[in-house]
Amino acid sequence: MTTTNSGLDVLLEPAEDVRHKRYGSRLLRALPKVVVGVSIVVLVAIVLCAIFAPLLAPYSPNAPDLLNPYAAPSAAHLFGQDSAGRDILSRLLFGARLSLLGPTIVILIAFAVGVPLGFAAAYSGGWADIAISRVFDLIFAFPALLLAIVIVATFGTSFYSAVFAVTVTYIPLMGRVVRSACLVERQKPYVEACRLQGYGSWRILLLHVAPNIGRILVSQTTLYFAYALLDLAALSFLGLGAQPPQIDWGSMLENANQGVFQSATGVIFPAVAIILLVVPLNFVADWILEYNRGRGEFR
Amino acid sequence: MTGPTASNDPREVVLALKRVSTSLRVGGRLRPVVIDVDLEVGAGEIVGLVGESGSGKSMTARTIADALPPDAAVSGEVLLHGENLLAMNRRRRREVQPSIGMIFQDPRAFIDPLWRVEDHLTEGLRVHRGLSRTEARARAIELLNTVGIDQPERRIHQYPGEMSGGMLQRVMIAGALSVEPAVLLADEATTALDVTTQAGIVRLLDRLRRERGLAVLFITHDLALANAICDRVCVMYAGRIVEVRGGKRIFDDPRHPYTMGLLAARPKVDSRSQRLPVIQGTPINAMDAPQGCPFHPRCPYVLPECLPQVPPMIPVEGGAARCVRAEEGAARLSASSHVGEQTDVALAVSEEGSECS
Repeated sequence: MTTTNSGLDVLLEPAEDVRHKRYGSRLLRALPKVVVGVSIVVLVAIVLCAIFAPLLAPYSPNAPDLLNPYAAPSAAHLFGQDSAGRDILSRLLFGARLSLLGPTIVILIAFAVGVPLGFAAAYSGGWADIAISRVFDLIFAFPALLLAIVIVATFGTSFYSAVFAVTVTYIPLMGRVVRSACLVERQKPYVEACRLQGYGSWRILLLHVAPNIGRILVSQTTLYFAYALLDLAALSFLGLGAQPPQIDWGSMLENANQGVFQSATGVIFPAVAIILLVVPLNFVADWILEYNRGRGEFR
Repeated sequence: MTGPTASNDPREVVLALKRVSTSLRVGGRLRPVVIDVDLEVGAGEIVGLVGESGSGKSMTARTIADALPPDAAVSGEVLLHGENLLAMNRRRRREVQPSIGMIFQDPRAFIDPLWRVEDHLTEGLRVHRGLSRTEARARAIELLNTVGIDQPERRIHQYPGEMSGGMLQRVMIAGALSVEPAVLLADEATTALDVTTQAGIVRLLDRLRRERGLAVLFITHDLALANAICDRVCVMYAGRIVEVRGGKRIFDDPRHPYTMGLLAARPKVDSRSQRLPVIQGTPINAMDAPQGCPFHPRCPYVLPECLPQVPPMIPVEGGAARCVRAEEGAARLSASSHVGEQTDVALAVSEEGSECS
């Protein structure tokens, strides 16, 4: 990825003129910044679309127009119409709401539960670490989607049971990231120096270790948001997530899938929407990791 | 609290180690790293601990500061103001911890990179002394002044990444001093610095011990540096102290062949003709020490008596040396040596001695 490459270059730090020669133009060197800038703009735009969907949507997202199923894009329906003749653009705008809400809930809960568990595992060591880590492993051992299907099957198909199911699989993901980052961080000399100054382990954990792994944590959380969005879309696509009249991009894909040979627009536009959310999230996650590298260490 | 009430009486012993041995668990077995170390540091005194890598000098400091791996085994007594640190319950040990300051070779690694200098310096004051933010800030500025940093009002807002190595070392010393420890353990604190900066730090330590009665254990591999600033120098080899000498005697009149070798192996400005003398063989860890005197396989003056057991510390002028021939001195040793090529080593030493005196 472009941003990763730029990070490496900073690390290797060739002399300025050498860099010019190698990359040819300023434009190329500025590319990572442009990519991140565009990514942020896209993400903000999508969030705004979700918030202001009722104002932006030209039609009611669930209003059928049974005379015009699978209609191609036109001036009246910019993105065309789906199997029931509903306006795809309106459905996309409203669908953004659940598509964003789902992963937000997943990440908030997974963060709130997984992060303390990860810290606890890393810091206590011994039996508590073993217990927590084995439970994580147990959840990992199940294919995430299969586990989610089992949970949804148990609690009934609804948007919130899908969210719950995905949350269960993301808690160990968060926990593990925190645990390993914490284990690495507490080996560092400054943590030892703090211990030698006689500071309590809670103080060291919360005021020294936690801020230092914050960058990794925020970056990973951003990435997991994108993954959770994909997982929820997958569940909705399987009919296990959002139920009509609820709309999210995954369920739009499922709906359009059957008529894909009549009109591909119903598949293309939700897919593009998902990509427009997931790819910029990846760039931003990368950038968070690289951008703050300088703070403290190299500044 | 025993810590900060150190008087300036140089004879008051602040820190004493009595027959301290430390073993680390390596691959399930306990391996000794420090063996039978006896050491005393008085208030206002700087005691040097010199040795090669693996000689146990850092492990000695870690034993004192309670910075060993959790499965390490320690025996003997570490007395701080007469109170045995090793026999304390955990709570008391935590209370005493601020009395022991420690500074390290690489300040950049030992200071939290995300904490500004002010936060770093005031943390101890607020945690251990219960000062308010404002009081602590005033103290922090004072401390930066003490350690010789210009414009402390500006510096306290900086991050460690914005300061040079020498300046950070001063910040680390200021941090260690903030809670007024009785003992300062300086573990290679000047090694990573350039010579000018090193001189500044050394002068600072010297001033602190005189003004504050701080007891300093100065760990270094630089014998000349130790000799220059220490009241007493202990030379360690393979986990044991092999020579303790006061004043400049370790330089002028070394009595342990290992110390002689160390001195001879220093580069000299005036003789650029021949190769640097080296001590034959390689330095060893305590765990690999042979029976008898640990230095005997490398010693040019080895006698049959060296082999059966570790020699005791034999009192010599101004100290003691762990060598059966400690009373002989470098000149006589080299004269009696039957290993021809080693002779010039001892000679180099005696020349060195006469130069310095």
